[in-house]
Amino acid sequence: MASHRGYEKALSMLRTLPRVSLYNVAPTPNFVKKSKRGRGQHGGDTHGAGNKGALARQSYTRTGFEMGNNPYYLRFPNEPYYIGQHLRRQYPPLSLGQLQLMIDTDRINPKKPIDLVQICNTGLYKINVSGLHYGVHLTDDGADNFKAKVNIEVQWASEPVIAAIERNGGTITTAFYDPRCLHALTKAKKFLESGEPIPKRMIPPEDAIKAYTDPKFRGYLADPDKISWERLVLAQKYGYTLPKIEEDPDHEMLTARKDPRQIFFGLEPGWVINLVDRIILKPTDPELKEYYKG
Amino acid sequence: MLRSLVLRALRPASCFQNVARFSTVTDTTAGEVNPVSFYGNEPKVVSRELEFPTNDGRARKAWVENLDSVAEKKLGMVDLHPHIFAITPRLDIIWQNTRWQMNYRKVNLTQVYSRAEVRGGGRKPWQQKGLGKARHGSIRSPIWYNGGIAHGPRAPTTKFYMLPIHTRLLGLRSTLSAKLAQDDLHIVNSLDIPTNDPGYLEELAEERKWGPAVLFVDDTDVAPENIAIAADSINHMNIMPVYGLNVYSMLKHDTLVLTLAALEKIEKQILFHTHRVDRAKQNEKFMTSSV
Amino acid sequence: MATMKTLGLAFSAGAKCFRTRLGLDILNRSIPLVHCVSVRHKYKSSPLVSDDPGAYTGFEVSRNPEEWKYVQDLLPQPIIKDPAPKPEYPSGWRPQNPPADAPYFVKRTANHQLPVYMVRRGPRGQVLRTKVRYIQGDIWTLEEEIRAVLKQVYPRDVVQTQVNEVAGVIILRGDYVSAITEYLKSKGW
Repeated sequence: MASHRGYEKALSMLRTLPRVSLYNVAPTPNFVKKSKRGRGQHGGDTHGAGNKGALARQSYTRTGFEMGNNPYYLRFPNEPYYIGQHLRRQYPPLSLGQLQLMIDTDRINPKKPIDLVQICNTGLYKINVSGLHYGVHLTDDGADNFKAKVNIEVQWASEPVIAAIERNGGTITTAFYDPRCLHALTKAKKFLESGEPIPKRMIPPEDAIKAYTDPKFRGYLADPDKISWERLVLAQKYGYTLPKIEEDPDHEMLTARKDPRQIFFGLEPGWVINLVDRIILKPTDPELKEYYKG
Repeated sequence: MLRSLVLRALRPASCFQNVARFSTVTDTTAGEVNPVSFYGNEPKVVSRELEFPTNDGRARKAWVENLDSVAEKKLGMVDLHPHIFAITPRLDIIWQNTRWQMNYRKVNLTQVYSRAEVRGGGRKPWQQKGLGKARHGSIRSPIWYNGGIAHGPRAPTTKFYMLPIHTRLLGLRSTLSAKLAQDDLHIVNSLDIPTNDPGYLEELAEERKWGPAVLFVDDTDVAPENIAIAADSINHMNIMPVYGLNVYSMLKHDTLVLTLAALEKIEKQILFHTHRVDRAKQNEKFMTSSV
Repeated sequence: MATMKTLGLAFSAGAKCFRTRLGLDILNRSIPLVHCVSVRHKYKSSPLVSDDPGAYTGFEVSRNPEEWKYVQDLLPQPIIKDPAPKPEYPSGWRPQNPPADAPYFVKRTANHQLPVYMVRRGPRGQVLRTKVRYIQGDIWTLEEEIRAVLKQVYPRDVVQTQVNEVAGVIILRGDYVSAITEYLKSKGW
């Protein structure tokens, strides 16, 4: 780095130039934009609006108005396929390539179960729960280079993605979270600071319950035996030997699952977390306990 | 003041103080030295562990000086993070920061009367037709003499805006780099001085050729008693807590004097903001409701 | 001029919050700090329904360190750390291993990625540029090298570049992100 260029040149120049002060700093050219409203001989008088007319008097019709006939933007009625589209659940994508990059750059720890909380805590995944985003859709972009062994819980995954994860000895579950729980998960620190009791997870709506009880989809409500069977079937379909999870040293981590009513690993619904005093408050009322359990 | 200005302009580049600042002295293997125990006749060359060290060959070091005697004593030498103290100073960003600092708190309370507020003008001055005069509805319309002002200043108007956090950080980093490059940055072990006489500080600045205006920055809210009393009566010497460090003040004062504790804090804060995990949230538009 | 003592009045904070404001506050009034939990006007801040403690559930306090580990796992890391070295990186990412004698230095981004971006602006994204940022040192040499590489990879393209030496940025007309990233990676940047 012997060349006298860039910052070396700049800093050396400053040693012989006058002291940097309030009076010799200036913006780059054209940074300060002049006002759009002209003044003076060439910008004044009508200020670019011409003479008289609707434009000068601001009495022109609204954009799109066609002097009374049915305007273009109102001609076409709501098509049937748009009905309810503003209410449909959306799952912002996260590709396997991005996930592998997060693991390679130590933004996500593959030694612990990965769920929505861990993905949002990286700061690299954008999700807006208020905009009907219901969780992570794991896509197969980069499935060929995905080599990590993980226990991952997402909200939507297709068959090649499930195969890519299970091929490396990992496990994947698809789980549903209702919006209140999603707010707690996507902004976990903010939720814990609020002092609210951990909410219990609600069951999926009617149009989603079929998917989350489907072993092919690795749904969290599906029968675990059927899931084991489907793992074998998928291995045969995609042509890989299914690694034996039981013999894996990380077996306990890979088979860690949340209860259908649970949203955080290791913490039950109804508990209140106090971050400052580092204590957990658990309710003792039997009615409340019954509520949070079932 | 003129003498020091002239001296500053005439100072050659190869002055004894300047060479040391740019020397890329290799790090010695001294252990962590407690900054408080920096006393002795010979300077101790120590290494300061940098957070987020870089390997781009821009290592910077600075002498640690003393304030407890008029004559300068070098107590040691510390590493400075190149990301903060050795960047190309962006003078345009420095300007943006100073302009922001000057303007964001401005509230214009000027208000002029509109045609509704000027006294009178409720009645039609004369009939619409028949008199041969121009038609008017009110004697206080903007086209009338003594009428209301159509688009005048309406209080209160604010010039509030927020510069993005990374622009502000770059402004701080550019200013600190420029200060170090121009020998206007001095690191001291602490702000303890032997007497509360203002003459002591003036003599010290004169002796060491510090610019007339000096900004002392420390990590505490309450400065040591002696320097607080001494600097109180000198308008051009000011003490500031580290969280008050800003581009405008650094440019306004010729010399910047940081304590070791302040230096640690500055580096820690700036590097923290540079390497935050929630950078996406930082880059969102600033909303006053979020504060 | 305000001394430390008067400025001291301007500040009031608890031990749990840390300051993130940058800038001199001359108003000498306390201003709420960004990271303090603010009072939100929700059901929680409304008065209690009943003064009778029997109407509310009892609770037990748990200080179990095993359970607290799960709580700590939920909290994000505050800063992006350097990734630990690994035997292989299936994603294609490489840690930086710059050549010792290079006249320039290409700094990685805060997320440890190469600072090569595709930028679109204008109506319909018509203006397409490739931006290489965070270049320290001799930027002109890097520009020549990039031109040479693009001449090899895209022999029929006319490459137009803009060098901003002060900001350490090279802007090229067109989309050459892949080619430049591959080249920089091959050099170890």
